[in-house]
Amino acid sequence: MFKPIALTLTAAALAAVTTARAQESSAAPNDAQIAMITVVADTVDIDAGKLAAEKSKNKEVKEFAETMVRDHTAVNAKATALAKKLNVTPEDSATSKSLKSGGDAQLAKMKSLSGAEFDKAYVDNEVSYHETVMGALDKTLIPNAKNAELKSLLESARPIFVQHLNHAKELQKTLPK
Amino acid sequence: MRAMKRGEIRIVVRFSAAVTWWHFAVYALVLFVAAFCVGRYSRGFTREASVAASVLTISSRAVPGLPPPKANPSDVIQVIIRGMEFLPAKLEIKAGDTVEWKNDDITPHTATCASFDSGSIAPDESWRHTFTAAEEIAYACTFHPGMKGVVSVK
Repeated sequence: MFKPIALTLTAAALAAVTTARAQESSAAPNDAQIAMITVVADTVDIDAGKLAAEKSKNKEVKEFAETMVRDHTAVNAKATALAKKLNVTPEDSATSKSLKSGGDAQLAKMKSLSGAEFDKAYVDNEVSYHETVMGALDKTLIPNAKNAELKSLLESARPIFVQHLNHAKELQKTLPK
Repeated sequence: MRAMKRGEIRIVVRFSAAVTWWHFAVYALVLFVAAFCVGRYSRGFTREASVAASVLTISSRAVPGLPPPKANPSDVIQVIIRGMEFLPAKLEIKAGDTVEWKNDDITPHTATCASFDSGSIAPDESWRHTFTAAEEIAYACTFHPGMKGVVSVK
């Protein structure tokens, strides 16, 4: 089974945060780190969505990509506003950095693809990415969020990811194998 | 003052300071403005609310020479969009009612089907549609195909 490097990096980054054997001194991220992870996770999907909306010739893939941009921009706006309100400066961590580099690698790979190959790579990645992010949300980000408003925002963002994942899975079924 | 006649009762009001007709005019104006504001406040400071209130008032009064007012005036019923859901997912209304979709969610949504399309409803915004025919209409959010709702018009 072929797993792209970008996805492995992303999965590893988020997996590291969910297990006790993280390379950082503390496995559990603090609120500032959680805020940054959220913003980076959204930004990675916004960038991928912008590329797909521009490049894809498939109407459903384009619409899905536009929804990714629209929705993740909205969540990012809320997360950023909340961080400002709470006077929390989002803080980088090994996780957020891995997420960013994983996202950049995936973006570079997708820029070299086109047509049906592009669509498949984009949608397959969206399915895995949303599965991974949801796992991190449930196992790490929500349980470790100390501030009640941050926790509440993450909990209210969860249904969005569920919808995205289902949407991506349905889309995956319509694309040639 | 003139002398009082037998059986006459006189009431004299004396003010401790010089009071002129202008004072009464100002007090009357202040009272009028206050009453106006109270009236508006109870109708929710909008022209729409005032118009709606007056329309409902008018429609419930019988006017001679005109057909009797409708027994059930049309209502505005809300569907709240929250957590990627239409709440309630199935809404029962009567013909002539208006449904208002209120976006209480984080992301934009739509309420769309063959017979109506709200276009993008931003968070905190609303969109209304009046249903005139008795039918069952299934609709969905065009951004999130998994989000579905039904309006059952009796």
